[in-house]
Amino acid sequence: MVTKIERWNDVLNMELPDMVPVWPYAYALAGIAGYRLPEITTKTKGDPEKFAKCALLPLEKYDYDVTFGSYFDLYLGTVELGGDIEIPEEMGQTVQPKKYPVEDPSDWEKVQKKLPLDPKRDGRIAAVVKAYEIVAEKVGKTTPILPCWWVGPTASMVLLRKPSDLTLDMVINPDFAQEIIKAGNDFAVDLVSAEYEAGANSLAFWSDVYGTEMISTEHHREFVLPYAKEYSDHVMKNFGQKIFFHFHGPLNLPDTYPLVEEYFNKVNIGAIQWDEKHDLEWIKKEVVDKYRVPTTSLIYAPEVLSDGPVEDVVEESKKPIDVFGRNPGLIAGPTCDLPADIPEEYFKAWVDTTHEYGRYR
Amino acid sequence: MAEKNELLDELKNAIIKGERKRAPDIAEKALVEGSDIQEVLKSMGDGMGVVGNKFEKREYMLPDMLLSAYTFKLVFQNLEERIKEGVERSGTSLGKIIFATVKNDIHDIGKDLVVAFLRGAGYEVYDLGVDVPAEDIIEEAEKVGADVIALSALLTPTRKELQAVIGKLEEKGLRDKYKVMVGGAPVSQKYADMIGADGYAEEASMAVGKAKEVMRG
Repeated sequence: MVTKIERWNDVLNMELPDMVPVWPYAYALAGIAGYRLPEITTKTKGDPEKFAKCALLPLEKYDYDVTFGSYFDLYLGTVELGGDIEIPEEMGQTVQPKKYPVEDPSDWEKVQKKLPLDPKRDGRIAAVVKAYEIVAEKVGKTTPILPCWWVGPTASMVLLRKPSDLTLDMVINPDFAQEIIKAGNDFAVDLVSAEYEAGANSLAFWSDVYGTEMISTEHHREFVLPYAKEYSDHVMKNFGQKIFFHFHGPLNLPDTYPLVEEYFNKVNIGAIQWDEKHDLEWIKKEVVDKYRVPTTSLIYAPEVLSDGPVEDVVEESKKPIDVFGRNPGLIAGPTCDLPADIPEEYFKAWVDTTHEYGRYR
Repeated sequence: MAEKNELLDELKNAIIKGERKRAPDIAEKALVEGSDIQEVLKSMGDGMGVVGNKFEKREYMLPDMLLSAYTFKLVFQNLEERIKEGVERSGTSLGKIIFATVKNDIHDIGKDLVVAFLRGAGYEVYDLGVDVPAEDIIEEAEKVGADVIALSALLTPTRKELQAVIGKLEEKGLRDKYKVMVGGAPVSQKYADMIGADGYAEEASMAVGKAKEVMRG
């Protein structure tokens, strides 16, 4: 019997697994597990047992192959740095910021004094780390558990500073932007390290919202790539793991394609998750075959998985498997995070079709 | 006359380049030199039009566009009262648009950009901000006599709030009174059709064309 971790490692090693693994990238794990946020977290404290259940219940229910080790959300640490958040009552929502710690550049000095945060002790972050321990204890021997946090500017915008302000900082106050981004990235590195120490056992997953749709290739080189390298070097040096990179924006344009090579030169990429702006045949030819690295398929969750019907989900789930044929390197995954309102039958149809139609042995 | 036209060109270029410190002064000077508020607003709108074209050609990226929108906003705030009076006097408003990012969503980048583009094109835009409940949006639309309700959502979980606004309009028997435009990362034409929106703009710069289209329809 092949375990999920063996299946996953076959894919990462660019070998044909017994079946295509499913990676259901979801921050909305609380909703998928059936919790409203106020049931599992306050502004300053989370329930580690319930955070762990957010990872374990959907894993058991849908039998997919890879998981985070906890419920995840935005703005972990924001309150501890002087900001404020709201925990929405409605099912499936994410935490909302009410006040960012650095609303004005003059706030920065005061916020700096509160850094670094301690992921094992501070606020909701501590519950996330504890949940990783619980999940690793339950399924760590058989299932890949990915540590996770954002990188570079994205890490800063979910901790310290409003996205529009940070984006403007990059052009009107670039030195200040660099300081803020470094602080966000340092937090990311500390959190991911704590997650590994708590039992995460595979690639470090990061998402970069500041992709090529938002900022230029030049700005990317200046404000993202150095931090991506720092994060990746740390993970490789200390935990022997590569990065599972979720990129936003096109990388297949004349001005952006050079970034692919620069990333492969500077970052230890173990797998890539793409957004819907790409074509799987292009990805296979220009990235998977060229750099020998696996890729996620391109299931556009807001339409295919949320809206169904089952027949469409089945058809869409088969398409990427047809593109790859009997070639290795395919992970079934959405183009971005899964919403909590996916009907159970569509979620299950995606996982089951992938496992049945994508069975190689 | 030459001085006046030069200043209007300078203002347009200041918007394009995002010269936030100079642009408000240039606008004031243009008014002193004899331009009327409509001419000033047109220059600013022309500037935003160029910014939108540059974004579509990838000559501009989000930070550049944000800087231009921010510059536009500074000048607009400075002149707001005079613009209102000018628009009322001349009757040149293309229509009234209520704009909001929906409840539980605090993202303002897309909203701010679209607001700048719409104002630049000559619409009277009432920007309600972010995290706005459906009830408040409708109440404000009723209060100002809006033609269009424009809604933004950036998060997948919050896109259902777009549907909530349309649902509330139906509940109140007001659906036919307003055109509803939607946009944001998790929204697509298919989703817009599914929830019964009248218009969907994929990019901020396309919102002006879409607003004209829905108001014609």
